[in-house]
Amino acid sequence: MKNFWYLFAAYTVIWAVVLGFVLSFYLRERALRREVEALKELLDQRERHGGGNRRDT
Amino acid sequence: MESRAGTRTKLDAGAASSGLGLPLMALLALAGVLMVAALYLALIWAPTERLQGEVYRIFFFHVPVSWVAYVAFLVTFVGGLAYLRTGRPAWDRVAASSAEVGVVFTTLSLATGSIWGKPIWNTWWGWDPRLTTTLVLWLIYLGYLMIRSYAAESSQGARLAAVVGVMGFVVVPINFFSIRLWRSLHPGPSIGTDVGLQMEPAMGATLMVSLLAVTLLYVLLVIARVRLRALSDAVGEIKARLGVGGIQ
Amino acid sequence: MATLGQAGAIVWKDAVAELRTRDIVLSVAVFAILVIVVFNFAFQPGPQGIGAVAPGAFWVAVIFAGTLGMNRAFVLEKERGTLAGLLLCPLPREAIFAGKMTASFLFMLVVEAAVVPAFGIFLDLPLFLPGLVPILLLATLGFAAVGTLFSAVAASSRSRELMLPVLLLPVLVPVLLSAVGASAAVFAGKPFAEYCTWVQILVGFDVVYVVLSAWVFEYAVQE
Repeated sequence: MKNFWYLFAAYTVIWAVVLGFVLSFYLRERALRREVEALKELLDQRERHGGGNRRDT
Repeated sequence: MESRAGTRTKLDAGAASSGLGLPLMALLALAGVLMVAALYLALIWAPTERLQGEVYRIFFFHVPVSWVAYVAFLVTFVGGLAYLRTGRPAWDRVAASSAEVGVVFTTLSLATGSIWGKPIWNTWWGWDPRLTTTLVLWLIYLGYLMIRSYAAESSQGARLAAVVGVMGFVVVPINFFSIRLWRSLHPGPSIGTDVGLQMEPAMGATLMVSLLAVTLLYVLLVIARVRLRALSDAVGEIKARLGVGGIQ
Repeated sequence: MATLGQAGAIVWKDAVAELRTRDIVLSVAVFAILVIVVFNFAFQPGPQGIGAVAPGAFWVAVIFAGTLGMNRAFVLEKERGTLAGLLLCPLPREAIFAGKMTASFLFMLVVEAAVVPAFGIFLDLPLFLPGLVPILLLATLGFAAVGTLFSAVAASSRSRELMLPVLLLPVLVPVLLSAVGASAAVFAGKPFAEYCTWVQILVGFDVVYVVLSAWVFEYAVQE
């Protein structure tokens, strides 16, 4: 089949780019979730140090 | 200022909402099935083209990706207008996510168009009117993404980008006419019309399935990106309230 | 017609400010001439090729130089804080836009008045072609409208010298193509009927973009 490599290249590019894009979503979401965990930690710390009924002015 | 408990429940809620619900899973499954079907039809079932041989099969994904890219920018245009009028961040999230997916699809359109062009015209780029209009479109929306990231702060970035999205979309039809007129005076190779893609009904059917698959892919990608933005915005908001500085 | 008066006041203010310093107009005109010279060295058209390269070189010079000039003007305003001051006045945003657009338009015409003769001399082309005038006016108007709007957008962002051309040039493609196409026809002495489509595109672009830019301007300058 002539020009096979062009056909292959085109379809490969499509899938590589789409999958790469989806992968970037996954990585960004993972980073965000880590931040959420860190923020929860921070909250816990402040709760412990500030005592039970710290009222905001 | 809200209580610590309130902030904590917000964090939990934000994390939970990014889980996949039933309708989304169904959509995902449908997209998977359609994509596999489209690939089979495009690569195996569709007949061989008389003049171009097998390489023409790029057409079955090149065309839908190009069309959907234009739809994506239409969504950015509408979302941007709505954001400018109402100021609600949800509109901006949709507009921006659609622009990102649109840029990715436009890149694919240019890449597949060029790869298809090489064996047919014997050159990687022939200033074909449709490809050229797509190239200008790509540049416009790269500018959209750039202005967002170069803005001093994010709500300003959203507003300026919405302005760019509106101005940039309106030029598209004018652009297409002027480029087509230019090309009629300086002719050169042209996808589809030059070497003459002989369309048979089987090819039309394949194109329809592929178009559906690509459209569904677009929808899913935008939904995913919007949710990611919503999560990112929520985290940013909470960080601001807690008085935590730093990245993102 | 209070708006007209307000717009006029802004044009006058910008014109006076520019006349006093004269620096932007001069440097932009010099830049435009430089572009033509560089084009000649880069492409070395020779007497036969001149006709093909000329209209393109002219419009590229005008657009690049104009982009630089417009950028300067807005950045200066932002730095001096005069833009914020202008926005505090109870003026409708469309009036501010109209004033600024007209000021840019006149500024560009002045630059073109310098470039056209330089062009005619360097490339040995007929200096005065009446057919060129409507093309110059229409293309410059479109350029001024979109340029003013995008200058406001770019001035609010971080990499403003880079952002203006990046935003402006893709949207100006129809103007560039039409101006070059029509100019080429005029240089070749073709009758109007042959290039009227280009002029139609310029008119259509101007109508759409003057209105759109005026409407969208308020969102571009909000703080």
